[in-house]
Amino acid sequence: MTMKTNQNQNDPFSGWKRQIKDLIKEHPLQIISWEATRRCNLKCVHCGSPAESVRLEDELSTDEVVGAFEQIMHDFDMTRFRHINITGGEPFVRKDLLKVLKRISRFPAYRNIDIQTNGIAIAEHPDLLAELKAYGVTGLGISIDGLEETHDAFRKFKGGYAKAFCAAQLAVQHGYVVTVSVVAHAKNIEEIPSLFQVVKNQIKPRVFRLMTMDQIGRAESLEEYKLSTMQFSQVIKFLQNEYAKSCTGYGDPQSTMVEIGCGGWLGEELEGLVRPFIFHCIAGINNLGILFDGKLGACSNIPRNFIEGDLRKDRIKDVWENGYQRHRQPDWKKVGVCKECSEWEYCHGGPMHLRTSGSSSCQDCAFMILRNYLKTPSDRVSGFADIIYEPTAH
Amino acid sequence: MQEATQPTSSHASPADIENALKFRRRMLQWPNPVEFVNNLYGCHPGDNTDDNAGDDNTDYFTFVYDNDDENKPEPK
Repeated sequence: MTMKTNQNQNDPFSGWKRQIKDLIKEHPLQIISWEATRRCNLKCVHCGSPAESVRLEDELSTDEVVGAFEQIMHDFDMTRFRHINITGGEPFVRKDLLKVLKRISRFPAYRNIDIQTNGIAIAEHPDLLAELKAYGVTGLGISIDGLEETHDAFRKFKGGYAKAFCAAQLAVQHGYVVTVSVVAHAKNIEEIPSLFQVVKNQIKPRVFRLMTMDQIGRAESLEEYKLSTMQFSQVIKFLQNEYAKSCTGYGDPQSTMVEIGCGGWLGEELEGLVRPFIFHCIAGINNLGILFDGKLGACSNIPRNFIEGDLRKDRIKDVWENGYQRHRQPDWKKVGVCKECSEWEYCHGGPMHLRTSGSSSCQDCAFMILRNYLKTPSDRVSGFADIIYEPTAH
Repeated sequence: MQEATQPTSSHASPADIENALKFRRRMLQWPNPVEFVNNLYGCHPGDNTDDNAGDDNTDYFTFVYDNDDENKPEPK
């Protein structure tokens, strides 16, 4: 990868689309998402990975986890490997988390780790930050789902907002790359502009990430929290405006970037204008998922019927090379709204976590929702300013 | 406890939008289409990056957002 991509003036995405195809064909292992546990010290309303839906006693032991990472080091070409993303449950509920990190971080490739957390452990034990840094942790993702009252109600934990806020501030002060993640839903959407200002001014994270509430886990039946089409559009407008206003400063690591999380392809007119990258789901392409019980998937948010193997039985490299065909040969996803979609060649059926079974179509396709708010093709780019977010009265 | 501040009501200017479009053109020039997530976390400060992913740094952001010349530098 030494040359700049040639861009076709008629189709500026032509090179990008070719690169995606090449990446799928090569599927180099670059990221490991390790679901450390399904256990948690909270019981949030919307959790996408709830403890009650699995057998917690099946959790991998310390030696099994370390053994898996050692096996990967031994079997894979790690020259293009980038980082480990640790998710849960709440990763810090694992009493052996530091022990695992200490053992795996002796490998240079594993000294670039980020952890997704509710922040409670860090707020209560700030000394953790120095230890985590010593074990190769560079990033922390901390969830804040609204202003104080909303967050605490959503998380069913009074004081949760204060702890998450404190943890994020401390992590920034200690030099971590901090992402504040916010699940946008029908009951907090009006607070998002205010929350953004508080987070940007008082925490100063590298990323303010909005995620829409997907109908997975406990949120599967939460219809009252689901964003309406107009509310989803409002989220995009907010991001579009904030991105345009501040993106000239994004080269500065001290700046706060906005983005929308893995919500899917937004359309050619919007991609790269609401977040600092062009989206494509990387699950099973360069992202390996190790689930809490050793099952091999592609991401902890993807339904477990997409499990490809089991590290307790299989060699991980064999599964990676011979499995994951549902991720890498996406034509089976050309059903439902994807069947005749004009932007299939950009997204190949969207993020896998929106597929609830092997044959069903994409749920809540972001592009399909948004295209109703875009005008005729000739107006789309010039109409960019027309869909700028207008803050609601507070 | 932190106090909520009112959201700013300012809208992006035409110049802001032009910049956003310019940065998108640069995103599309980057060789690895999923580089954003790869570059975000960087390496542990003080670690020797030569031992692992050789170009694991923040070049993506430098290229996309700090490059005043459309034609150079070329991404690694």
